[in-house]
Amino acid sequence: MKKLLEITLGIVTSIGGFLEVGSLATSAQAGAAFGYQLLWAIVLGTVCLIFLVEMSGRLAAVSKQPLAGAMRERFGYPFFLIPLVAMSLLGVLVLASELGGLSLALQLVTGISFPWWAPLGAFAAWLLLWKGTFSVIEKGASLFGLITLVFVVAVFRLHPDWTRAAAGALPSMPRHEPMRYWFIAVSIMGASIAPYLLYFYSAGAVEDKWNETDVPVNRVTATLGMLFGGALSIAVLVVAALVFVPRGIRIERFDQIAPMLTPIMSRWGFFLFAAALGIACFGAMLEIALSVAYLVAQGFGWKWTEDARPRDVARFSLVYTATLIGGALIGIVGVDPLAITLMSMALTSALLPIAIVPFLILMNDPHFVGKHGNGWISNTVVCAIVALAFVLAVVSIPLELMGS
Amino acid sequence: MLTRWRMSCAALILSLLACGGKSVADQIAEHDRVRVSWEQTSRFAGAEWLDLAVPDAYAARTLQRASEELRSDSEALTREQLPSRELARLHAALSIVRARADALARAVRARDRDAVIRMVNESPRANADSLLRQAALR
Amino acid sequence: MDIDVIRDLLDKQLVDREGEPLGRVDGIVMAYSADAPPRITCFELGAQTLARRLPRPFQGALAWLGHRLSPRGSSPYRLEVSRIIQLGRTIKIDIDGTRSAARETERWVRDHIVARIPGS
Repeated sequence: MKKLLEITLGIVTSIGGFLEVGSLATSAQAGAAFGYQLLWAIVLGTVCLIFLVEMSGRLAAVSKQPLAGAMRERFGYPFFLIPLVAMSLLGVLVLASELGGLSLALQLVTGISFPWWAPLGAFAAWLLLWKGTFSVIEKGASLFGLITLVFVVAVFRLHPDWTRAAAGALPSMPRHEPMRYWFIAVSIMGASIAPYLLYFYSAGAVEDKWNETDVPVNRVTATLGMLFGGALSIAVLVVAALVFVPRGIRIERFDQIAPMLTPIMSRWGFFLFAAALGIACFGAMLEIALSVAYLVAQGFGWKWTEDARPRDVARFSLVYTATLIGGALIGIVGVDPLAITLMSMALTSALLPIAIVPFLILMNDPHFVGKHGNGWISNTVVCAIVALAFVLAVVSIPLELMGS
Repeated sequence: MLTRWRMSCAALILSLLACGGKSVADQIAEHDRVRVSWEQTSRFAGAEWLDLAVPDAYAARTLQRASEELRSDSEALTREQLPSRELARLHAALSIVRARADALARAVRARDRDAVIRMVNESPRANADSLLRQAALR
Repeated sequence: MDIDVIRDLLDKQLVDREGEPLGRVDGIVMAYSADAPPRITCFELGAQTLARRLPRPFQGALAWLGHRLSPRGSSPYRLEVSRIIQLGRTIKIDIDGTRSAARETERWVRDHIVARIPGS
C-alpha cells in the first residue's frame, strides 16, 4: 500500500514537472508548421528519457552516489570538467529561456509588457530556493504543474483523427521546408531529453536515501511518469496542429502561441494557457538552478542538500544563486525568447553525447551498479537516439544559423 | 589516408552549404508564408478579441507585432535579389496586409467593435480544408 | 586489501569523522627516499592541485583563478593518509571538519557572502 502511494506520488511528480518552455514551444511550433508529422521526435525523445531517468534513479539507488559525483570518480577530474562546463553553461541558457516563458505568462495575465519580469521571476525562484526545502519545492512545483493537463483536455475536445496522428509517430521525410523541419525535430529531442533532469532526479534519489529495494519502484515511476509527461508534449503538438494549421498561422514569435486554447475554451483558455506556461516555466527554473548546483557541488565534493539553511551549504547556495543571476542577465539583454528557446534546445541535442556517453559507461560498470547494470536494450536504444539527435543537431544548427 | 578523410569532410560541408543556399522560388515562397502567417495571426487576434476570448492588451500588442514583422519582412525584401515583377508583387501584398493590421490595431485600441467586425470579415480567410489536407490532418 | 590508487582513491569523496563532506581527493602525494620503498603519505586538495591535472594551456588560467578566488591563496591543503578511518564509498578521515582548512573556502563564502544575505 505504501509502495503504491509512493509510485503514484512519483508519477504525479513527473507529470506535473514534465512540461516546460522547451517542450511547449517546440511542440507548438512543430504542430503549427507540420501538423502531426513531427510526433516521432517527441516519441523518440520520450523513450530515450524514460531509459535515462530510470538509469539515473538506479545509479543513485545502487551506488548511493548522485550522477555528478559518480562521473568525476569514474572518469577523473580533467574529463569531468567537460560535461561540468558544458552542462552548466547550457543550464544558464535553458534557464534564460524558461525565464522568457515566465515573463510572457506574466505579461499575458497582467497585460503589462515589462522588461523587468525576467529578473523579478528569477528573484522569486531564488527566494523559494533560499527559504524552501526539497520536498516542498518538488511536490509544490509538480502539484501546480498538473495544470498543464489542460492540454490533454483540449485534445479530447478537439476530436483529432487518431489514426492520422499515429502515422506521425513514424519518422518521415518533410514535404516542405526541410531545414526548418529538421531543426524543429532536433529542438524537440533536446527539449524532451533535457539532461539537467538526470542530475536533479539522481540527487533527489540520494536525498531520499534510496537503496536497492527501490530499483523496481524506480522502474515503474520513471517509465509511467515520463510516458504520461511525453503524452503532454504530444497533446500540445496535436492542439497546435488543429488550431493553427487550418488558420494558416505559423509560429514565428512566442506570443502567437498564447491563444492556442481560446478556440476551445474561450477566455478561460487564454488564462489557463498563461497559468500553465508560467507554472511550468517557474518549476523548470527551480529544477535547472538546483541541477547546476548539484552538478558543481557534487563534482567538487562540497556539502549539498536543499534541506539545509543556505549558510550551512554556502557554496551550493552560491551556485544556484549565480545560475539564476546568469539566466536573468540574458533575460534582461532581451534576446527573442522563442529563438533562444529553440536554439538552447537544439544545443542540448548537440551536447547530449558529452553528458550521456559517460553516463552509459557508468551504467555498465559493475564497480558502480553491481549486478544492476544496463541490459543491451537500454544501451542500444539510448545510444541510437542520442546519436541520431547529435547528428541531426550538428547538421541542422549551422544551417539554421546561416538561414536566419 | 588523412587527406582523403579531409576531402570527404570538405565535400560534406560544401554540399551542406549548397543545400543551405535558397533558390529564388524558395525565397518567394518564404515571403509568402511569412505574410500569410501574420495576416492570419491578425485575423485570429481580431476574431478572438470579438469573442472576448483574449484581453484588449494582448490583441493590441499582437496586431502591433504583426505590423512590425511585416515591416521587417519588407525591409528584408529590399536586400534580396529577386525578379523585379515578383519584388513589386510581394511589396504591394505586404503593404496591403500591413495597412490592414494597423487599422485593426487602431480599432481594437478604440474598442470599436463594429469596425473590427467589418475588418475581420473583410480580411481573407485561410482555406482551412486545403490546409488541413496538405498537413495530412484530415 | 588491494587498493587501486586511481580507481579507489583519486577523486573520491572525503568526509570528516562526523561524515560531513570535506571535498574530493584532488591529488595524491607520495614520499620516496633512498632507503625505503615509496609510499602514499597525503591526499591533496585545492585549486592549485586541480589546475596541475589539466592540459598545459588551461593550467595557468585556472591556477590564477584559484589564486585569486581562494582565501588561502595558492597553497594546496594536505590530509595525512594515516588518519583514514574508513575506506569505502567515501573516505572517512579522523579530523574535525568544522575547523579544518579543507573547508576554509566554504567558511569564507558563508561568512563573506551567504551570511550577509537576509534569510540565510
